[in-house]
Amino acid sequence: MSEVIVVTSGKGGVGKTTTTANLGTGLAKLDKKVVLVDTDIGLRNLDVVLGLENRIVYTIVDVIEGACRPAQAMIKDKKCDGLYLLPAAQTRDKSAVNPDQMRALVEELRKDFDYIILDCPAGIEQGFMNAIAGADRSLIVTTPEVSAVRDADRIIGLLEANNIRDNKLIVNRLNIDMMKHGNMMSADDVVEVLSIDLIGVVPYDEKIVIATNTGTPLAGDGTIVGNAYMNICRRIMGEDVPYENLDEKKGFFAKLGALFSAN
Amino acid sequence: MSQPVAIKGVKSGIVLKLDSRMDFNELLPLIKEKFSASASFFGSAGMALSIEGRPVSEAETTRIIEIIESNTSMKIGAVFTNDELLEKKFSDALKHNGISPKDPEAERRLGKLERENAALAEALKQNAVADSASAEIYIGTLRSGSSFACRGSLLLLGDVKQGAEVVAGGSIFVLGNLLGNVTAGAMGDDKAFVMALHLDPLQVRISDALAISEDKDSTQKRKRSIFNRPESDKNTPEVAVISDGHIVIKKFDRTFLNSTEFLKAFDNREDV
Repeated sequence: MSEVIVVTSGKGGVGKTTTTANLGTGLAKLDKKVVLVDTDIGLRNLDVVLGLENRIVYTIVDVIEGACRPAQAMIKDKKCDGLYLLPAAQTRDKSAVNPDQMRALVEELRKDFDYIILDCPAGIEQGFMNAIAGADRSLIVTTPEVSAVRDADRIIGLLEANNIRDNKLIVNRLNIDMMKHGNMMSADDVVEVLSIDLIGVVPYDEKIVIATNTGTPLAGDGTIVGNAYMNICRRIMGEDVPYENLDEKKGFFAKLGALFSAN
Repeated sequence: MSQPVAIKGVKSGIVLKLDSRMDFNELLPLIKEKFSASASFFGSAGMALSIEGRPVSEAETTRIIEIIESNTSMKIGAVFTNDELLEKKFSDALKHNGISPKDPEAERRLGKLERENAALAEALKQNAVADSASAEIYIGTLRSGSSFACRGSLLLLGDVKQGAEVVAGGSIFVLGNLLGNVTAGAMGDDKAFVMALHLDPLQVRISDALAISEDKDSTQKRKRSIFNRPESDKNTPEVAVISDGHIVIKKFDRTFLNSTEFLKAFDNREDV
């Protein structure tokens, strides 16, 4: 039974691509066979975050146009067995692909993979429509900022309108200190506004910037951020994982975790 | 075409354009009319004639020549019909490129390129056929997502950024930083090469050979580079060539310029 998950946000720059790379790495480390599909044609980034940009020969557009087989275009990850990337084309644009073609491609990929994770472009135009076309469920990434939360709300509406009902929330880049001082929304503030289930909270950490720049995802490497991603992966697989305590001293998230595990 | 019969004078000949939809016998009086009207203009020189716009048989050609010679004082010294002329132009150009006419290999490559990258193949087809010793000049920087293709060699004055793509039938010279993807000898010319003032591309393809840049080393904060070489070499002009079936990087210096591989790349006499 394979699952197709779209990672989306509406707003740009909230961490869709980083999240996709880390979830792919995490699921592959949990012995799943995973393909990450970059649907951001013309502005591809997932290849760089995974450090695979020098290996791209064929792209998703070549596969869809029949210039090559999906297996020829897929790039095996350097570090993780079972993780593959289907890169986007850079010299084309979103109109090179339509939702029907994406649906057909995703169906083809289902045969070989446990998880197909689609990295959605920012916005709600054709790129978004392409990305969600074949998806069973979604992960909505947002940062605890009003602008990102508002865009996420719009996206949830569009997903529901397109019959994607299983939508889970990832609150990314949570700054614990600012939240403690009341200068930033907390994860439960965001959940309250969006009224969908939370699947994970990823704290802000400079390590993620370094990891992105060097093309090495953090999932499963023992850091706080890496653990947060691993926990999301386990929850994706259906495990009941308690929420991590991001603030050891005060135990704030223990309370928060208790709240959500009660749901 | 607006007129059923049109005459164009070129240096030492006349191009006669005929409507392909009209009956040949209807065209004859029009041809006669045209030439009688401009008889004085043509004078009594010996001329070559090219018939374009429709296929003509030998008998039809003879009749056209009769009409011209009886209505003007010109002497038609040579005749090319449309097909012959084009055929000759094509085969000459192909020979210049080091590809024999109707080379199945070249056609296969073009077909392959067409499947892989329709836009670039179209550009290659549409650009005037040029031999590898003549180059197109592109001025400006190619940024991520943009691409440029040409049939012959390419002289690019600017940078090729990561994510940009350059394809040429011949060699590629980049007077700037080459960081994107390049394909030289796209139609199968193994002797084509890629030169850049700063050569650090993600991928280089020459004919069927492919080289990719080495992976980033996350432990050492060293700049990525396609081949291991000392830092001091990176700011000197370099060239990527095929050697024993593999792409290697060499300094673009006097040694290379005097080498047989450089001279061969532009010597068309050897291949024909």
